[in-house]
Amino acid sequence: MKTKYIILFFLVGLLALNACKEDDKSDPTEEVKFPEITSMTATKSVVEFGGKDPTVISCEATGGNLSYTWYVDLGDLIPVSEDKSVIQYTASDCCIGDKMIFCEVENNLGSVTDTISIFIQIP
Amino acid sequence: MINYKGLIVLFLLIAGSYGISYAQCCSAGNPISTDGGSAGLQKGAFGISVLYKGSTSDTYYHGSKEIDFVNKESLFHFTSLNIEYGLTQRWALVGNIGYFVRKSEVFPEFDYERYASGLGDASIQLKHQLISQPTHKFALSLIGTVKIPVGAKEVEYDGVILPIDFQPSTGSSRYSIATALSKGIGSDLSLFGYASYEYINAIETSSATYKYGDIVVGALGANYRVGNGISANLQSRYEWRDKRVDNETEVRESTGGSVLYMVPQISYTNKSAYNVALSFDVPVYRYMNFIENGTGQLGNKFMFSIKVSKTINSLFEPKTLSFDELEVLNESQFFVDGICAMCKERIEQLAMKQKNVKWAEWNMETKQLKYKFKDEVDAEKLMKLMAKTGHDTEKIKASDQAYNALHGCCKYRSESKE
Repeated sequence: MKTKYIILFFLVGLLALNACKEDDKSDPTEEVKFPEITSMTATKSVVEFGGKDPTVISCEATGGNLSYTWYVDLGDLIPVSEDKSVIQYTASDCCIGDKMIFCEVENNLGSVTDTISIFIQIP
Repeated sequence: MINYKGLIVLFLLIAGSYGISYAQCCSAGNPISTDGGSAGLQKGAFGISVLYKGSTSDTYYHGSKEIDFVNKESLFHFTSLNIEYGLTQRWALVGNIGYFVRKSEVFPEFDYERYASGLGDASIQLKHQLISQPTHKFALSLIGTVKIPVGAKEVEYDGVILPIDFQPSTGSSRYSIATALSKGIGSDLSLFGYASYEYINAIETSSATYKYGDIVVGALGANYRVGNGISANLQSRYEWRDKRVDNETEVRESTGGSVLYMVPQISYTNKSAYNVALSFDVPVYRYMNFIENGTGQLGNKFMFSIKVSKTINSLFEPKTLSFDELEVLNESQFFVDGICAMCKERIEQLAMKQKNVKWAEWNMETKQLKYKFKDEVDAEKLMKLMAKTGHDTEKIKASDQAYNALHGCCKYRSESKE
């Protein structure tokens, strides 16, 4: 009989732990909608090559439960914010010229992509 | 008996070349390696090898000058599987696939590190032995290769799809043509040369096209048989890469360049024909293209490789007879000199090719070749055949020319190893 109570206690405990488990970091009151990029901005649109003069690019989006994926053909994108909505971009001298940076925002309803152009120049 | 003089020469070569080493850059695609081997496989023979290559890079260069700038440091651990099959006596087909276990880049300025792993390029190669003169120990081969990017084009790390020059796979196909030659000098030394040209197709992305520079490689080297299955190999390899061209017209002046490597290698072949080779690719001179006030190019410090290979003389074993069938056959034996598993395979295969021989076995300890037959076998003809291939028998001695043409690990005469 005692064993039954112990098992029951563990099952209830397990259920309680599971109920408290954080499954996502989104606002529970926020309604999930198809993602939409509201703005994509950079602190500088012209950057000197070499890594000491990065531009910080932000992608603001709505829709809830969002994940961000960035892409550029050449150069280095380094995430700044934990949710990856803000990144730094630098490049070496092999990337002089216009570079198109893509940001894809996705949730379970779909995805949307926006771009921003950054010019890499000689100091 | 180990040739200690040879070991000392090897040590000095390694120490000398390592002492003057600097660095060189890594680039998209499988790393380049040449082992200088031009000898093809025998018909039906099958070779398999596994390679590990590790590289580290942390220095930037303007031309041949090291500069005081570090944007990023890089490192990779690369493996590849190589399978070779002898189609005929002169043609061999080779398949190769590369896998980056880990490619990483560290950005000291941002205290950030990123990684990638995955399949690199696969290649299919056709080797043709154009000239083969075993008596002169000379061989010349032509090699055509097609490289295919089999890995994923968009490997992602930390919310970022990695740039094209850091992806494990190049994202473009490549074609190369090469020639390799080898020439034996005496019983323990051989020289080899290798030259190749590789054309690289453009990578097309949604916003641009990038054509990485074509690559020319030339290598010269020497292989010295130290003894007891140990060989030392020293190679100098020159690599030249053309500049990258973006969108068909924009030449990137700060890409491409040339590097001269010294590649000391030591290898060991055991009696079962397994070979293990260790080598260092040490850059001794480089010229990395650059622009004034530019960041320069990242050059790698050195690469380290381990290769394990095994050759199986034939995939198609002769028909085996049942115990009952063998029992009723006549048996005979004679002395055949040899030393290793490769000798054993060769001697037994030669015996099996002889008319009326139904079964053959050579004992590595007693050096006795036992063979079974139903109808009479011409033993003297069989001995002549063994001697012609380089193996002394109890009545006929192999000529020096035939003996010298044997593979390095098959040299059984003790005087040649002194």
